[in-house]
Amino acid sequence: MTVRTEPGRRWNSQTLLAAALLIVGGLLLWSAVRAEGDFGLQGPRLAPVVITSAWVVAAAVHLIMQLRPRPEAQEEARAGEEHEPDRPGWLAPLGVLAALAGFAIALEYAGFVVSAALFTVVTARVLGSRNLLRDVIVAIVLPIAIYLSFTRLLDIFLPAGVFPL
Amino acid sequence: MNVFGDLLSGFGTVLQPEYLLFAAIGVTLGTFVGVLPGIGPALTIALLLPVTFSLDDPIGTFIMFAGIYYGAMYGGSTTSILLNTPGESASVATAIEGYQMARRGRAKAALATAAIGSFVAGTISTLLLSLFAQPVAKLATTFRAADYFALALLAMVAVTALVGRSLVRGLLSLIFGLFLGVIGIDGLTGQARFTFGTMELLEGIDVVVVIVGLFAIGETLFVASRMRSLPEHITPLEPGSSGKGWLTRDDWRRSWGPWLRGTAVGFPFGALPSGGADVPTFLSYTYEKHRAKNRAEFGKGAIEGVAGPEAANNAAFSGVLVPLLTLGIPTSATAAVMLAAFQIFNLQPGPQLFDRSPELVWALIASLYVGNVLLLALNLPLIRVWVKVLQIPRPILYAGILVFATLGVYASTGSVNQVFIAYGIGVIGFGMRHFDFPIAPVILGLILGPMMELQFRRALLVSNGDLTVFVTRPLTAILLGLVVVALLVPYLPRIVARLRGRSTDTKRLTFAEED
Repeated sequence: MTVRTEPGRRWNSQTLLAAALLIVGGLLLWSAVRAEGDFGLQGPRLAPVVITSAWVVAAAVHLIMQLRPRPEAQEEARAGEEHEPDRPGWLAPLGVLAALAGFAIALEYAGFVVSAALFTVVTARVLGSRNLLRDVIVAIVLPIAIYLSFTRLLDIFLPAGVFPL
Repeated sequence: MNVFGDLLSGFGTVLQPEYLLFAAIGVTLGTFVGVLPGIGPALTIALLLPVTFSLDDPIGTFIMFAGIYYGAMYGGSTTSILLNTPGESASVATAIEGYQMARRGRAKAALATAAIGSFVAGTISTLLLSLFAQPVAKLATTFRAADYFALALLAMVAVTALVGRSLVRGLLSLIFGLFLGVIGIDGLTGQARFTFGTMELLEGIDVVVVIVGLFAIGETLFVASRMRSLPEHITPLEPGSSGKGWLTRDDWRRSWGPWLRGTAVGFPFGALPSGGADVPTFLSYTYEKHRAKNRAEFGKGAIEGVAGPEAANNAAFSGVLVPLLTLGIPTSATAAVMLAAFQIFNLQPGPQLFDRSPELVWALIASLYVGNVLLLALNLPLIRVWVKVLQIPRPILYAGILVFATLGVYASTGSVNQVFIAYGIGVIGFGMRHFDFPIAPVILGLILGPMMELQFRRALLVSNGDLTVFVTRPLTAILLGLVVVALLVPYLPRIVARLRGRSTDTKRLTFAEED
């Protein structure tokens, strides 16, 4: 039945995540145990070991709860199905991330105003804006206003870059 | 000096034009971000932290921050009522009845009862704060390291257990926050922990970086992933023509009870480590629904269901300030950011704060009275302006949030690498939202974890490594006992049902997430 496959898929990604959390927790615990230093009650090594141990235990419990079929889980899955039209897209978040990375790299070379202006136009586009003129106006006015108020009024350094101000 | 003398001198400070301006900026900004869905007071204050580097005036800064927190509580109700999208998680309960009232053309009555209720609750609870703060601070001077350890543990566990849908998910979020907290050089011995050989992590991960990552970057990525269900423009309901339509005599009669009861619930719950305003707003809603004579009207726009939760939500904020100012223990994400702000100014909230900087404390408390009046004046007459704010196109809004987020991290750390760490945490935050993990416990773990570790080691130093120090003092033992109770409370309905031999179909108690 097609109705069954949909909750199954959702359920699987949660299980995979729980397993991944367990593995990451295990690796961190391993690195905490192997670290050098005083392993006493007052030493610096106790907290990392305690925290990562708790991580492993919580992740294990989470995994077990995900693997155990419960009526609640089916209910949740059914509730998830109702949100079917909201199925997340991956393109837009990836686009936003790419724009962010470009922004951060360009920040120190091109300066705040130019990089922020480009970033605003691109991101508004990725997020579904279809009004280019409005975006461009905002993208020019907003960064210049921020730049001037931060550097002139608040004395906070922002990279000027290629923009002669 | 007695409380009234202190408070009077606090008013003397706040009523200076310069500080009135700070208060006005704070409440305006707070209402603005409260109205906008997606950004809350925690993120706003975190983004403003770099600005405070250049303001060498802690009093003005904290007056502004308190205004933001308060304003966000007021502004959240507008979005809930007109849009049915709570701007703040503490306004979720308001949306239930408020939106129904608006749909029936009673938007102005709903907005009015929310604003006036917030004012009443804010004023009463600030009065309670003025009366309680100093006695609690006095009491807190007798607290020892072991007590602080137990208190921090209680605050963390209580928030984690009460917030969100599943205890295990909440605990995983909390543990992630604790993990972020130990990264970097250990303050007592200088040993590097979880730095993986990089220089960038030696200083630890800054609170600003984590909050911007989780609340700004993570939130925007989450919104982006659900773009298709997101219209570019949103059309809030019309608040109705000006002039007529505010509260009728009947509305007043039905509202004042819930206002007072909401305050009575909100203040203590804010003061207790229960995660701010979410729990009391839902308690107030449930209680009003339960005791109302016209229960059939609930779900169709009962004014009691707006008045109660809104009052509770504002009263909780003054409550949150009690442990924050007197003990230095934050009980909500926003309080945690405010604690970070205190540390920027080299101020340590706690019992000594009342002795060392009384003018700051009392100016802050006096500013709450002033802020309440300003907000009442700002909200009702200017409601059309705030409706305009709701119409900012989403793509531009989120692009702007990301610009401010990047700017905030860069300005406070001066390093592009830190910006990338914030982006990385943002990706994790997106994953947490996607897989339904609560965010607030991460912040509390990050702030309270190092505090807890320090007090633990301090307590053991005093006792020469004797672990019984945590159970021999009655106060410490009681606090640790409450930790266990907090873990069990969400399962109480199920346990009771099982004890009575019924089937266990009752779900665990849950509350919406704090932000």
